Amino acid sequence: MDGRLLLLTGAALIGGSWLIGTMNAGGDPGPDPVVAAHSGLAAELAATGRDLSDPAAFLVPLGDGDAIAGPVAATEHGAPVFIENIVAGYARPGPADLPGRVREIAATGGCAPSQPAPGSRIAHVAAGLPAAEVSFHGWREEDLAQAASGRMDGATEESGGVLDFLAELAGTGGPEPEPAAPWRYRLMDIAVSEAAAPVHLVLEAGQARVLWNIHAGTGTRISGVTLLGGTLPAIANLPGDVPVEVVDATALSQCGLAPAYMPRADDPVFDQVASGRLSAGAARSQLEARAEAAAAWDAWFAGRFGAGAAELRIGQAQGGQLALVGPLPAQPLLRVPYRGLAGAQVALSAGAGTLAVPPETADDEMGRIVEELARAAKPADGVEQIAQVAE
Amino acid sequence: MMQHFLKYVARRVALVLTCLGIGLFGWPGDVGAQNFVKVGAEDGSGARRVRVGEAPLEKVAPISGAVAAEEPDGAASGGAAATDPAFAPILAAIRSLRVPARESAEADALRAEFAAPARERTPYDAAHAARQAVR
Repeated sequence: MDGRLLLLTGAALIGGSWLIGTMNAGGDPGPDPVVAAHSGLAAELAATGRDLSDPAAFLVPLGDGDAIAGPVAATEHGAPVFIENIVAGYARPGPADLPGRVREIAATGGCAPSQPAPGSRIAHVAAGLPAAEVSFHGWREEDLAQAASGRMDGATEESGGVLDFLAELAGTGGPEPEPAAPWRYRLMDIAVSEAAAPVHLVLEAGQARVLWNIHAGTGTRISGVTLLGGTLPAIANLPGDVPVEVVDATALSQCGLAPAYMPRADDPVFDQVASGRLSAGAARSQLEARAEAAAAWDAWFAGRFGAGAAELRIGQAQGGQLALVGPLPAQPLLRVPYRGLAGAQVALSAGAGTLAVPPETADDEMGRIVEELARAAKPADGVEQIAQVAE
Repeated sequence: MMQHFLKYVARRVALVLTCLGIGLFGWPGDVGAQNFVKVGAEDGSGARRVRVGEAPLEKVAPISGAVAAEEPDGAASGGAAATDPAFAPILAAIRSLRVPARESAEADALRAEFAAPARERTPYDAAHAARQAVR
């Protein structure tokens, strides 16, 4: 074969693979993962005979609440509503929508956040694990130390390239466990349409990192925000003069508290008893413990905010995207305007590290830091010693 | 003459293998055609990468093999929902809707004693908002 032809073929191969790599890493972010997940769930829901033109068809009983399996918002109107009927121009942030500035929130001492301003209306929104990930990441030193410790425990021989590929072909290579990512956030949008009174938002997360994005309607006023539970809770697009207080999951647990609610009639625990997978005695002890925790949470919440947590709760246990606080927009023109995350100010607890890059990039960068920490630490070091190295 | 010919062949073979190797496996630290093949397969299925480490940290239900095994005949695959920690429990919950509830006096008794009463769903109005206002 002609040498020049061979050279040309080789150059074409190299150039082609470079081009493909560039295309993959850069421009096309691919399909929206939430839309992709929703389309799979919609097919499942349709198979159960639900009418998907009704927003309530996307509510699925899960644990002590409902999960959201489609493009609907939680409301206090007796039923969910399609998001497009609440927010004008709703567009879930993509990987390129990077928040711009971080405002630090001073830590709230103790277990008693300040009382809301008199005359303001309490709006309590709860989110378990929301649907969408965002290009915002935050962490504490102990999170990195924990991840480094986990990496040291599960350290495996680095492999890759040709060897990895050949092992895969031979069927001897398994999927490599990926490192923990204790910096990723999920997004929960809050649309405020309540103009009759100032609103005090009580935003409650379970254990996840939740970034609450506020969309304030015309004539509305937010008098204050209390962020309850969650890990390093953060809030975006909130006016700078609105006071924010944080009592995160760690602080709550130090006070002997955790968000808890009574099970609903369709809770899986009852089905487990009916099917014999759980004895009635074991179920009773579980339920008594839940009842006790729910009563304690309700009493503490009522003491701070004037009514029980369960009574005021808006939101879903899983897969939430948006919650509406206030009346439904009477016509499309009165919908709440959408505020994106690009360049938005994010309020977050003081002392946290932050990074505003797409999740994949953050994993690479943070993974390198965790790797360095794991290398710098001694094999016998515990999380506390590694956290000191991280400092 | 023979020696020159063999050297020529060896050089060309080496060149071809090098180019093929780089094209397939990528330059060290870069993307190769094999990665493209994998990415293409993931995109086609609508799946996305799963951070295995996220589950225990976020305290979400793990995606169990049982979910896939229990997939009823004729049901959709669940697509990307099956691999996302936020959606996998929802997918399992939807599938459980297809299983008829079992009758059990013990379960009914526990339900009557512990289940929260169905929340009254009243339409939003100004009076409702006023009830929630701080006195």
